[in-house]
Amino acid sequence: MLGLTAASAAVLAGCAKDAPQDTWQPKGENAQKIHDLQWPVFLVAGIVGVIVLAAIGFVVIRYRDKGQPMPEQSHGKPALEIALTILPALILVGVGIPTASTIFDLADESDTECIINVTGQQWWWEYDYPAQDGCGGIAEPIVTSGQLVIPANTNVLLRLTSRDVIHSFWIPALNGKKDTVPGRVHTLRMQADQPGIYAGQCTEFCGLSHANMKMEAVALNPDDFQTWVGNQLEPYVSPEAGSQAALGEAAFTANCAYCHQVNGLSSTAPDGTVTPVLANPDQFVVSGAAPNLTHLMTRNTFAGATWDLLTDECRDRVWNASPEEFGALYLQGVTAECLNAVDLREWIRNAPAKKPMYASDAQKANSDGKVRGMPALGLNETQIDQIIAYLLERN
Amino acid sequence: MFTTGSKLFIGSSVLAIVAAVAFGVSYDGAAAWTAAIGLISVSIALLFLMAINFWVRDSNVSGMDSDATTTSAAAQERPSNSMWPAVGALGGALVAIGLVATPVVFKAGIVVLLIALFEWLVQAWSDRASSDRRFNASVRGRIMHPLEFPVLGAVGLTVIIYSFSRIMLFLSKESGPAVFVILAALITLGGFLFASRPTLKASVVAGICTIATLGLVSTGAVMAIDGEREMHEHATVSNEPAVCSSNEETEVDEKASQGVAAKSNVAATIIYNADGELYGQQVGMGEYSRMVTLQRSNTSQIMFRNLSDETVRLVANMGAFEVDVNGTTVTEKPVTCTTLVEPDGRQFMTLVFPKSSAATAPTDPYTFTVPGVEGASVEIVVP
Repeated sequence: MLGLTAASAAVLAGCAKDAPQDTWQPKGENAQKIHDLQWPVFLVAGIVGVIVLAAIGFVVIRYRDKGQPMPEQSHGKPALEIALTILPALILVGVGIPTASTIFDLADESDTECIINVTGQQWWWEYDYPAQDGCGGIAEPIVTSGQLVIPANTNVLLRLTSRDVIHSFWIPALNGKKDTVPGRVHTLRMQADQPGIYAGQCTEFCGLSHANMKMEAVALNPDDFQTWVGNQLEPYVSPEAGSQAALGEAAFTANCAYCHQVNGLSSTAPDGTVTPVLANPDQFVVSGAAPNLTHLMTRNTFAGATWDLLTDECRDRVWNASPEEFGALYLQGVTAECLNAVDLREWIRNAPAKKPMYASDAQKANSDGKVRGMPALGLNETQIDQIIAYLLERN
Repeated sequence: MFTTGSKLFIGSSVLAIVAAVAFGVSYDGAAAWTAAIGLISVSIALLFLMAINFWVRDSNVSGMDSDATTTSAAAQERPSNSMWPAVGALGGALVAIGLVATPVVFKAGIVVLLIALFEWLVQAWSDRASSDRRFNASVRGRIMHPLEFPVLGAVGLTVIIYSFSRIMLFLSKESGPAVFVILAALITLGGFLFASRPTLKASVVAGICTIATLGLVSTGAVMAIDGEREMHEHATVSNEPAVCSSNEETEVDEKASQGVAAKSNVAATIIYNADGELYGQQVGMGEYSRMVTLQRSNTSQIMFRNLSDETVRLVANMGAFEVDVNGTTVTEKPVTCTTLVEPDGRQFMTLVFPKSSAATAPTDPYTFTVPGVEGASVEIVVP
């Protein structure tokens, strides 16, 4: 009974409507090609499976031992054996030809209109956009994380690699999965038919928080994408002197900027010398990188896309927006009213308590004193308030 | 008065006492005491065995006792022949040699001793199963074959593969392929002949295979002793500014860049063409560019192709950083360069940029250059 219940639950789970990582709901040209291949293959495999099971069932029941004499033994029927060899071979050829064609289609890079570098590390994804004429034109490189922002209806080519261990990049609605391997660059086509958010998940076990290594692709129409690019290249604006955010800037510089880069952040020495604050994650983190937080509040997620920066209500408004309204809503970023301060506060207070990571002193001993993930910084509540106020202006 | 067995134990006991005295006189310190006490203990144990042997009269059965000729232990079927005592002796010898020579031999001796002990115990146990030796052998086989066959198979394969590898490493790179093509052809021919003559006796096939295996193993052993062929190691990159800016070359391994693994991992190809221009090309980015993007803190394989008529090298200028050396601020300008690359040649370099482009001084950006060629420069962007 228990087994029947479990099996029924597993089967019924396939009927879920709200399943953002459903492989049967393609939302882009590449995923559609896979979909067009997989349903006939599943159909053929299903028919063959049913026939084989039915044949086995028939033989088991019809010829079960009832005390009858041993039937006549033969040494094969060549015609039947040849037929049963040729038939599966024909089925495999029938499946193999469209499969090979789809593989070549998915590997085609000739129609690339936009290039984005994707780098996996424990346990988040970094996206950097090289300066290029593609993507509608990007004048300066852009670095972001958590959400991969792409122009809709555009052939994007992802150049995938990893800084530490093997990960796998997969956004089911837009394409199949592709491993990211240290020292190698793999390419993956990506195209979304309409503006919207498409969920994904690392699909190669990569350590303690593998299950928390999520990703989201955000497709914007080309005009909105250009607006997003413009926002990402906006120069740094210091918080108003004396404000909570200004205190947060100092707290951020003293505690967070060792690993997290905020482009344009600088410090002023007592003699008035201004020097840029440059993060050195290579000295503290095994992967040698930490998310760039320059425009954190233009994203909707943090900590490897594990938590939303938006409250549930605001998040639902963005996720459920129509393709026409989506871009404008997404480009609003995270406002003070929509900020999910609860999770962000817990994260800053003690990140390893919220997401399993190798970040304690004992665990660091096994990796040359470097952490995997974000350590607990021991900040007090006042400092956390100040840093959140500062981050809220990183938009 | 003393039986033969008793005399053996008496002699051994006396020998142990003499050895204890000799050891005690020859050496000083705790080691001498330990050895002397150990040898005297051995002597006492041997005397104890002598007493038992003396008491049971070497377990001889009296010829007058007719019942004893059929019922005594000595009258039972003798155990089957066993090689394990000999193997055990080999293990003992290896242990002794290993104590003097090298720990590896000592450990191997211990392993051989344990195997011999275990095998001998199982054989002795199976010999008591019945009076039928064939049945006893099948009992032993049922226990030991599931262990012996996989272990022997693995050991045999290891020996063959190791022998094979020694031969490959001994032969020159030129003769190696020819030898193995011929060898592979012979094996194929042999297999064909065996298959085409199904009436061939199994003993003939086994004999040929044994001779071939022995030939392979003995050749491998000889070549292992003789050593590997000479393999030159050439530097392919340098981190010395003086080297990177010079036009002199010491060594070039022309084939170092032909590894398939390296070629399949190229983050960027930097091309120096006949017009004296330097371009970059990256996976997925079709066009040649004066700028390449490399990820921060990530190992990047760079291939340099020299399509010009000159012999040149590629230099990666990895910025300028102020570092504290014993309290003094010093500006470091790390560089990495390939060796001089001949026309139509190629060379690899592996780079890691731990800091973004923003971290380096604006006057010293990350670039690829060709020394001595004005304008031959590709910007490296590290986001």
